[in-house]
Amino acid sequence: MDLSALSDEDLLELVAERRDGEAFEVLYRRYSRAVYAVVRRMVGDPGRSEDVVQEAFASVWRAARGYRRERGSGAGWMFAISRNAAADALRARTPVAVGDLPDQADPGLGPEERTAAGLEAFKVHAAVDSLPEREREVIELAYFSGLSQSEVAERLSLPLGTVKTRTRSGLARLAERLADERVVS
Amino acid sequence: MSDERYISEIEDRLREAGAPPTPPAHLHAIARAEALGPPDVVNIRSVVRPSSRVGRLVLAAAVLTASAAAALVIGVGGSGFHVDRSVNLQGAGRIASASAVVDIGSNGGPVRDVQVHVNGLPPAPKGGYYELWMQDGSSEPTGLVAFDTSGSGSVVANTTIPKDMPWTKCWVTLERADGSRTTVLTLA
Repeated sequence: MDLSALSDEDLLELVAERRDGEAFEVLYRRYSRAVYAVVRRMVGDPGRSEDVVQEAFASVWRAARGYRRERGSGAGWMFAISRNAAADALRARTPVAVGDLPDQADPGLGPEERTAAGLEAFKVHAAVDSLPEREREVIELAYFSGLSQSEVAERLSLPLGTVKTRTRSGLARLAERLADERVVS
Repeated sequence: MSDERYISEIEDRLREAGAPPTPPAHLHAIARAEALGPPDVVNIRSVVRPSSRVGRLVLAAAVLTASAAAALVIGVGGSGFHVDRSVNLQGAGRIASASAVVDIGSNGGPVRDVQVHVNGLPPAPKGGYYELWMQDGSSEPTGLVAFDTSGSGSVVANTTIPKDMPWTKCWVTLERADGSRTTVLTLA
């Protein structure tokens, strides 16, 4: 059975009920970059981030039984696991001395806005990683690396029409998935 | 919402999210070992391993023959070199007691000798063999040497690397005849 076609929720249930290592593998492939991105953003240090990602996926394995699909999406649950693992790591750091605190409040996004933005990026990254490889590579080159479709075609040695077809089909797949996750309307 | 506008919204979300950083390849094996405990299957592209099932079996047979003859190896290299650096590897999961020391020689010539001393690692299953890998932070992993262990679980495997080859991680995998791969030894 090809588990890669299953939803996050189905995979989490397989991990919870059957301790299915292959389901865990699919979740790892689908979420490793998204989890790593969240953790790197929160923790900063690459080495420490690796430890946190390990802990996050260990938590996924241990805590999958606690996941309830009626309470929310698998992506949201994975995001919460990742943030909690990163927050635990940050709490374990030596406290900052009061004298080091800035005089003025950070004018950037507040904690709730940052969480919302982080969750949205997390879902987008996971959705991209769930695409078939041929679609994922053109989407990443176009939207993450900023290449034009002609440049993508040249980079991948593909006809321009093929790049356009794959891009269109990848975007349609993303639209479906991100609508399910309520990232887009 | 029209199709075009819908697609445009997806494009905006992609650009806002930006490219995620790519986690290092070795993290997969470590994260899986951390979660599941026993050794694991990882997906790392090799630059030297045979791609066909027949090729794997031929390599496994060659390793087995070499191992039976002299507890050795596919590769080149030798003994008696000056050790520049030693790296300790440790088993994971069910083979936690397995270990290896990777001795990396000095770079007097165009290559460095590498000698792997393995202990406590059970012989590979039929059709399988072990492989030592190295990787730096940004490149694809490089498979360096294939070997098997004797009944005692020990072997000394020799190979060489280019003197300027960058690397920050090394590990040993069990390569199976069906093409699957399990990391069995990681940095201690």
